[in-house]
Amino acid sequence: MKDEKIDFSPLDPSLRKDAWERRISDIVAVATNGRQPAASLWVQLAAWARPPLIAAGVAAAFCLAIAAFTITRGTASRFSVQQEPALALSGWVAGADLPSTDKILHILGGTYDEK
Amino acid sequence: MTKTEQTAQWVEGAKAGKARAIDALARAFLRPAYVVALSVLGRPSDAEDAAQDAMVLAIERIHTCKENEKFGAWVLQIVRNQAKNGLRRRRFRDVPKEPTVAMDLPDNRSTDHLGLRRDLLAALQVLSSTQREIVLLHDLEGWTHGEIAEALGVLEVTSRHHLFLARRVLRTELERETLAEGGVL
Repeated sequence: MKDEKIDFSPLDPSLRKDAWERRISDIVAVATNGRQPAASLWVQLAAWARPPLIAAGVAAAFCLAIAAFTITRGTASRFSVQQEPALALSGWVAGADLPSTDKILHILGGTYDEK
Repeated sequence: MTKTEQTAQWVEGAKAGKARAIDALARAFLRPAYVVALSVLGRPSDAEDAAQDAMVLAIERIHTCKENEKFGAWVLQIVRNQAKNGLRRRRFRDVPKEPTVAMDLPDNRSTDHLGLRRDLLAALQVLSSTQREIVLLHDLEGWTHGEIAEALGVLEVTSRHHLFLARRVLRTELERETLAEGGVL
């Protein structure tokens, strides 16, 4: 009984040389890209950069700066208003000099009329 | 250098990320991968896609290939699994059988060639999946029984036996299809 090879060339995809070469190139390209060393943090961040994200980041940074500035100023002024009478009074208590009446009234927010 | 040693060297290079080694592996194993995928899927266009996807997957995971010299068996198992997954998805989608036979053919191929291709595909369906792999790896890819035995995890004598049976069945089927076509005409 004959037992020769069967001709399977009609099923051979590599006969379509261009398409077959393209498949091999695609495999090499995908595999090579996947095997590159990990990019640094900055490179990854740069790769993620998108115009809307950049705009959002700048806006967020601007808002944070304004908020920080406002909070710092507000706190400082409130602090000075609240702390000023207490500091003056504690200074008088600690010191030997007795303050005048108009000074006491000024610190406590009142007025002195000599009439 | 033997074929196995050459393969082991390419695998080592591919593990180091060398494009030339990856290219050599793709050239050496894409056709065997296609053959195995065709044995499972029975449709050349699907088999080509499955083979390509499996090769990409294999090279991406090449560090998990512990024995470099057994890359062939390892990659064909990946192809088999990928093709089986593809078959499940295809059954789910329920697309018509081999719709792209004509599109797959080179321009200079005759209608006889197209008919032979269709007959071969139909005849292959009569065989078991293992017989299809063996006859295609041997007669299309030119692998030896030793290489087939190693890649499929069977004895060489089993490979020879399957090849003998597969060829006999295929010839019978092809003759019957030729006669049927002659009868119709």
